[in-house]
Amino acid sequence: MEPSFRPGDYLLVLGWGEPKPGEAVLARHPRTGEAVVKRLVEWRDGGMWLEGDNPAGSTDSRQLGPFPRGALLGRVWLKIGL
Amino acid sequence: MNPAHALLDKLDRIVGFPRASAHCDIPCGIYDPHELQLNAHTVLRMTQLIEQLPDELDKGQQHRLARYTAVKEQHGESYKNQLRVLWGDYFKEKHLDDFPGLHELVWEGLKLGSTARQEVDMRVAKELVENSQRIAEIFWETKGRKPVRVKSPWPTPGEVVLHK
Repeated sequence: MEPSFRPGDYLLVLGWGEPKPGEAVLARHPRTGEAVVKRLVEWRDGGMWLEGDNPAGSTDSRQLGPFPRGALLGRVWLKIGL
Repeated sequence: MNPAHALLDKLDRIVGFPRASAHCDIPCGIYDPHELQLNAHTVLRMTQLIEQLPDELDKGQQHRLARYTAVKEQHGESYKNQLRVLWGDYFKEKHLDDFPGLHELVWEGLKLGSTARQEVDMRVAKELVENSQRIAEIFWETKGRKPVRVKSPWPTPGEVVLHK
């Protein structure tokens, strides 16, 4: 998600509300179950189309398909970087 | 750097905030200046060992000289490779602003890596170690970790930069 977010950045994530396209969200990875930060491109049938800000280095909806609504953990509200 | 970040960092160490990933399953880019320092200390050690050999060498001593030289060559070259990766892949624009002189330091390191291979010179080898320490210190500062110098745990004199 560089340069928006870098390793070591702290993110304040809100656990309520519907994310809008363009917002960064925290979601559960459908395969690994880990929490990942991606950008919501748009809502589609089947859920959220998420992409990383760094397309060359990102695994996201382009490979994994839309993330179901239930995978949403929250909306990134604030970043506190180094 | 950023006091809010420093505060969160302290809390993080106590509480342990959850982690989120932003890239693919493979971590892209684990950088560390430790290998750079190992290379420099090895060049220093080999230089030391070569200098300790007498001027007239028997067969056994010639063999040792050959081996010390081979290792000095390898580690001098590795120093330059490590520096190339840190410079090309890790350090960013912002770091150049935060640490004026970083560019010159890296350039100096590349040249010292070459000179340390070409010469048998303790002064050059010590400068190589110092170069690796200064780069390591800057590296850890860019990561918000306090660098700390500890006495070399190896037969070489001097210190190694670690971090808190």
